[in-house]
Amino acid sequence: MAKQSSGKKKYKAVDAVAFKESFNDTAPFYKKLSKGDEVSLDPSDKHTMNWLANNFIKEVK
Amino acid sequence: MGRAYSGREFSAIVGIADNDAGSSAGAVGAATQDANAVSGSKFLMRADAVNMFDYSAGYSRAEVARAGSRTLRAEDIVNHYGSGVFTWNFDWLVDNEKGIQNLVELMYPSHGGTITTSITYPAAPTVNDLSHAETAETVSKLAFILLTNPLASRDHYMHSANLQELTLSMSAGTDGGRLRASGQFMSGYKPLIETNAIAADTTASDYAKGLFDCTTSTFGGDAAVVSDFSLTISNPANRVGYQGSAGETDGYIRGGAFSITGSITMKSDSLQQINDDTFWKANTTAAIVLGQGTNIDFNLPAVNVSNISYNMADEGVFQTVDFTATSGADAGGNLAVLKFT
Repeated sequence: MAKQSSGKKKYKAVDAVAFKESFNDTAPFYKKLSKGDEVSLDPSDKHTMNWLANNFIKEVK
Repeated sequence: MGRAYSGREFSAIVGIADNDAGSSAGAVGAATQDANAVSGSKFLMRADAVNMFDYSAGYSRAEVARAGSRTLRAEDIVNHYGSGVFTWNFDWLVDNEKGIQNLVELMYPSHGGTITTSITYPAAPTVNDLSHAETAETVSKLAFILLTNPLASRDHYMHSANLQELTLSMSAGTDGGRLRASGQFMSGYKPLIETNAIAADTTASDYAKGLFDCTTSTFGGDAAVVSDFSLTISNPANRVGYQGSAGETDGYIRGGAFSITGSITMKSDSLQQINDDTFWKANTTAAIVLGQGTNIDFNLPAVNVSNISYNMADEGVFQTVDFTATSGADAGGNLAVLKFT
């Protein structure tokens, strides 16, 4: 039986410094994204969609 | 006949009072703030023209028409000087680094950063204790303004002033694109008219950044060719009650709405026309980045577009986007981060 996908994808900040400056601890995975780390995010989450639309994060293939 | 004076003979010095020294000399409401300034904070504001303080709202005035008379007697006019609000409006083509840093700091004195690097207007701005005679608050930072008068005995000096509104603007077609700052200070204390020998700490023209220095300009993550940009920061201050026989304020409350609004005019190209749908019509927030990273930089991570208007010129269509800065989804972002270094 195939493993079921969680629907999440991996993303990282396009510019970690700019991400850190723009957001705060309230944002999901703020510390990791601010360090340039990859994180798993739901592509349909409102934060993810907005960050993608504004080029704050990019998908890691 | 007395001597006439030109407005060009006046000049303006703006400083930050050291309200936090634990000394009554720099306390909220102390008239001796000019001699107790934050080190190096007094700068000469070379405004295009120096406006005089607006004294009109400093009066509480009533005309009480009493029965039995069709005219007003002198006693029928109540005119109390000092129980109102005094304001000073300025308009300055920015030419001094310390000066512009002072202004953005005075808009939010309790910021947590280093003003010589950047200032962050956060999702949850804190409120200072600005009560009368306060000396212990570590980040109160009120301003004082001195308008030097060629008639030496009548310099106009305002102390314990809050910068409650600041507009920063740049236009490709005006002033060579240079940064311009305008705004309003308010005080609930009577300005003094006196001989005042205080001099500015910095008078240099050492800042000449503007729109053409902004090598990065994006709206909604896409490159934008910007012709005009304007940002208005509002952090109102209100006088509270009164103390003393003069009716001066018992300090301030500065806990009202903190807002940043503005507009950006840019080429209505294939990227930005699509962004009209992505952000305006979809009611999602857009990021504005305009600057060069350090010397001049405006970063607004999550603005809400309130309107877009189009200039349908033959020479190229431009669009003006009016916006309100937000703290983003779930208050997860800053209203703005600005840098002037």
